[in-house]
Amino acid sequence: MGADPATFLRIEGITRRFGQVAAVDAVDIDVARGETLCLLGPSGCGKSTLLRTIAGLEAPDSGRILIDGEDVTALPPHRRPVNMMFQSYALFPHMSVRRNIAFGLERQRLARAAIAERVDEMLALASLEALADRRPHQLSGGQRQRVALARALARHPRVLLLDEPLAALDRQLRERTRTELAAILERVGVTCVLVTHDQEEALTLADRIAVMRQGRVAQIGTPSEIYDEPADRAVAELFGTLNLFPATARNGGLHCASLGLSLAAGTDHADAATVAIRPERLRILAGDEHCDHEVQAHVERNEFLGAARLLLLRLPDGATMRLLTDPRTRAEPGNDVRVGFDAHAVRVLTQ
Amino acid sequence: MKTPAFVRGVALLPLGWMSVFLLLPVAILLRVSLAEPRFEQPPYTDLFALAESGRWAFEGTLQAWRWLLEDPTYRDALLGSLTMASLTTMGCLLLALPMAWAIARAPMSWRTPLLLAVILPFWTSFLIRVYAWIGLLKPEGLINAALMATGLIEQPLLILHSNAAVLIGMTYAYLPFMILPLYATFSRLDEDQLQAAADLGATPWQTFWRISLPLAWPGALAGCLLVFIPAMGEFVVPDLLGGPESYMLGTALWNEFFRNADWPTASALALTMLVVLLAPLALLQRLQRRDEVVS
Repeated sequence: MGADPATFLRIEGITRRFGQVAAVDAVDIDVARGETLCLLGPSGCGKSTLLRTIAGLEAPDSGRILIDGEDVTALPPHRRPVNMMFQSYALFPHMSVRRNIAFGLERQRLARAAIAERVDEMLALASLEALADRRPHQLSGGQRQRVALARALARHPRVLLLDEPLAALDRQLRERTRTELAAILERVGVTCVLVTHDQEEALTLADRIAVMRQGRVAQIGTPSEIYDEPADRAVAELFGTLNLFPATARNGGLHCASLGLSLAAGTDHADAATVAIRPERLRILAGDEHCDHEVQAHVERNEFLGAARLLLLRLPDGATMRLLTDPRTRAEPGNDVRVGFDAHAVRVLTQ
Repeated sequence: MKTPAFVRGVALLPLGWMSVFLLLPVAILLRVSLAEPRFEQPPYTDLFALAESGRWAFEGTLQAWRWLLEDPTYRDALLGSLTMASLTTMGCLLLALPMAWAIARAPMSWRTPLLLAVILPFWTSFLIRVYAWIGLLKPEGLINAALMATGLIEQPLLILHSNAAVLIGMTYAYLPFMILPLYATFSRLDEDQLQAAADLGATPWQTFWRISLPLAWPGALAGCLLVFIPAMGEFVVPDLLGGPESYMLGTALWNEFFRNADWPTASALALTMLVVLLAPLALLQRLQRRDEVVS
């Protein structure tokens, strides 16, 4: 791998074993300056271990961590130019909000006035001015989350690490906090590595997503790349519903019986694969409309979801298909419709 | 909410215990302290006597209490106890802090054996362990022999029968009472908070001073009281290891009861000690209540 000049944080062949199990297995990731990279995956995929390795809280068995070209692998956590926001927030219960935020600055031996100024700046950034003298136990979950973020940002970390930053919040609060978090990250412009198991969080917060599975990176790319061009079925299934149809090799290409679709041999995969189409990439065609591909379908159910309408369709060969469309679409159950989709909506997945 | 009868019954147990083993003895002490000593059985006078007029008259006296105030011996004993108990508590705290912290930070499989090593001496009699210190501290004892063999000293140190020996003995005897509550709080510290401190630039030493120690404060306080309170009344250690200058409340109490057979003065002294010890207990309770409000 050539040294990309844009690379700011480099994760190079990091492996971390717990006994026989490699929690992180030879992972290479480059993060650009100012970029927000999201490590996404189920629990136990190694994403938190990798994050803690960057923080210095875990020592890798092999590999290196480089920040702006400097190898920090051997540095203890308190000497690394990174700060982490813990999933539990890990606020110091015996200190006020102000003292919590000042803690990292005091370790830098800054002048008292400089510390006070920076703390005020952080309090303003996280809208915590009115709560500066409270103790953590006197705060709500959302307020604690903001204190943890402000504390991690106070030292101008070169890399900000966020471990499940929203997981401890209840559902309603999470969405609003996510927006706030995105705004703060954008304003600060810090290089950020974020760990989450929530794909929505990943899609909204990340510049790039690294999908992790069993200690390895299954796919890395922008949210739309991951969403639209998943590398395999497991990655595709992470993000919402997917229509999947079996396909078999035929005449050097692939044939999908359900959709009546033949694909050129763009792939040299084995003799069986899966064809995937997202429900929102399908469209109901009016009488004179035409599309790259078309298929006849029988409407079985029609569900009004408020912002959209979900149709459950049955294809001529008996397979079912979901179609997400405009809520004003009229397609009564029992009717036959013509469904169209573009060629680039079709993904061929292995496994 | 109604308290089930069973729970109420169980709550009576400590109350009953308190009544029989604390309140009743205190009442008896109070009664004896108001009498005068005499060489009979029981060795104190009655509080009420049938007067010639045929009526019961109160014959009690504050003589014993007056003694306590007037004779400087008792004040010295109280000061001696306060000094030795405070020094013992400090010594235990200084020794126990690193030990408890080390045990709490040790790998899981090490903790039980290490804790066992702290508790194990309790399986031997207290008295025997104090006697063992005589063997260690006496002029021809192990410590002096070792120091002389290495050439550090030429004359044996006269530690035995001094306040230094009492301090060593009491610190040794009460150390586990400090280690155990400290260990309990150290081991309950939130690992994330310690790691967050390191992440925010704190060296391990700074993390200890700024996070671990302030958060272990309830354990330290409990340990201090567990050491200070019995140390105040300690009798065996100053008697065996101490010298003439090691005059403490426990010694004074023993002298009054058994040497002078002055039960009223001894009772008054015992009650004084109880009151002196109630102060730190009340303090503990207030601080604990404050802590509950915080957490």
